[in-house]
Amino acid sequence: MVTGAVSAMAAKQAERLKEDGNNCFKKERFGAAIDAYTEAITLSPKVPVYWTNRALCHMKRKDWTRVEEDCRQAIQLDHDSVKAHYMLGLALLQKEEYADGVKALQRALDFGRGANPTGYMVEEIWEELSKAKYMEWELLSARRSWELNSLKETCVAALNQQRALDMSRTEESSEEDYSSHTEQLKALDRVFEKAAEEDKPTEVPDYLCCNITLEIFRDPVISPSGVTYERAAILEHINKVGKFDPITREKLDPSKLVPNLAIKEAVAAYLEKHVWAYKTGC
Amino acid sequence: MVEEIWEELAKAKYMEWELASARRSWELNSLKETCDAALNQQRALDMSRTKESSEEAYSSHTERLKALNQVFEKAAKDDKPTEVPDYLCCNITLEIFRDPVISPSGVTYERAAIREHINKVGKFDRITREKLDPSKLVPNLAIKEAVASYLEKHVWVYKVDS
Repeated sequence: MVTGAVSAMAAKQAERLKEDGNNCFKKERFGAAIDAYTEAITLSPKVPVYWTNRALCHMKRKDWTRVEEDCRQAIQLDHDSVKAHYMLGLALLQKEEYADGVKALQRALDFGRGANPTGYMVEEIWEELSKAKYMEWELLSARRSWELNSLKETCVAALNQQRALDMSRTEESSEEDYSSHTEQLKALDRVFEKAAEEDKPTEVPDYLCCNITLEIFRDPVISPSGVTYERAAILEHINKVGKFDPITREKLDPSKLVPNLAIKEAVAAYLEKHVWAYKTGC
Repeated sequence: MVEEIWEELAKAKYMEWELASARRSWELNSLKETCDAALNQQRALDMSRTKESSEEAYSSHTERLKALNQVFEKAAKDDKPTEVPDYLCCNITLEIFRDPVISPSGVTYERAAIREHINKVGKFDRITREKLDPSKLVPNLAIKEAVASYLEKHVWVYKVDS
């Protein structure tokens, strides 16, 4: 088999096979496409595109195990392959390996943004990544919630037990003792509520949301009047409605939009702490 | 004059917070000790009922005490001074923003500090070195709101070190 350099003829033939595969793919003949890519790989195994193309076919057939295999090969050959990391992420999510799936999707997003920040792929990857992070959080927070509840019940039972013992020791039970016991239970309630706060979806603060999209910022830009908008939304407004600030009505030239880096950081910090915000708006 | 008023206001807010948080802290500790005692009491009772005490029961008891610790720590978190997040601080003054303005390169500064920089050092962005005209500074209203919200939750930031 081919161990050293691939001959020029073999490489050419492999490219032809890739084209065949692409044509089959367009006609949704995924099995045939896979066969073509497989032959191409056999002739010229070090071309990452053959592997990712084949992985895409496997994905169409929901053959996730093979998607993962082919993506891992592609990544070995091309460390920055956006498509490979993306499909690998999706495959891992299928196996419910959320943590690793999220990491792979994040890599895909980072490489994708580096290459082409406004490309369609970046949007798609961001959507999948948000979904994945949310699912991962849902799982973890459900468990945390259960653990907290369980602990709280144990404490309440212990406190009640203590109270019963105290009552049996003193001859009379006073009003004071009773009310201080209930106060304690109430205070304990508040403590556990506070501890569970981070996991409870609330409203995302206004200053982290665009008032056009009403969603948390992804790429915030500030206008000369000091108002911050989602870049895509304000550009759409300028193109479709007019070159003026929607809030202040002042003249607004797209070249005057400045990335609000501080708010971008604020959003990242908020999402880390409140993962549920990936799903909700304001 | 404005500076003086701000200082006095900050001091007053801090003292008010210090008092309230000290009391909260005491109440929390007191409650935690009661819970720990009750849990230990419960454990002692359980142990006296079963003939043998297992490794498992012991470790699950210690786990419970640890978990309870974490719960109380979380509840006390807002009252514990930590570092103010970078994105709420000016990298000239190193303090939380009072009047944040953003430069055309996207960096946010304390208005007074960047104006002083422009007057004394030169008309360029301190971080990116790009040309910087004072008329191009835009108030970062979103960050101003973020700071206000942060201060409401973490009053201890008002402590002004002299």
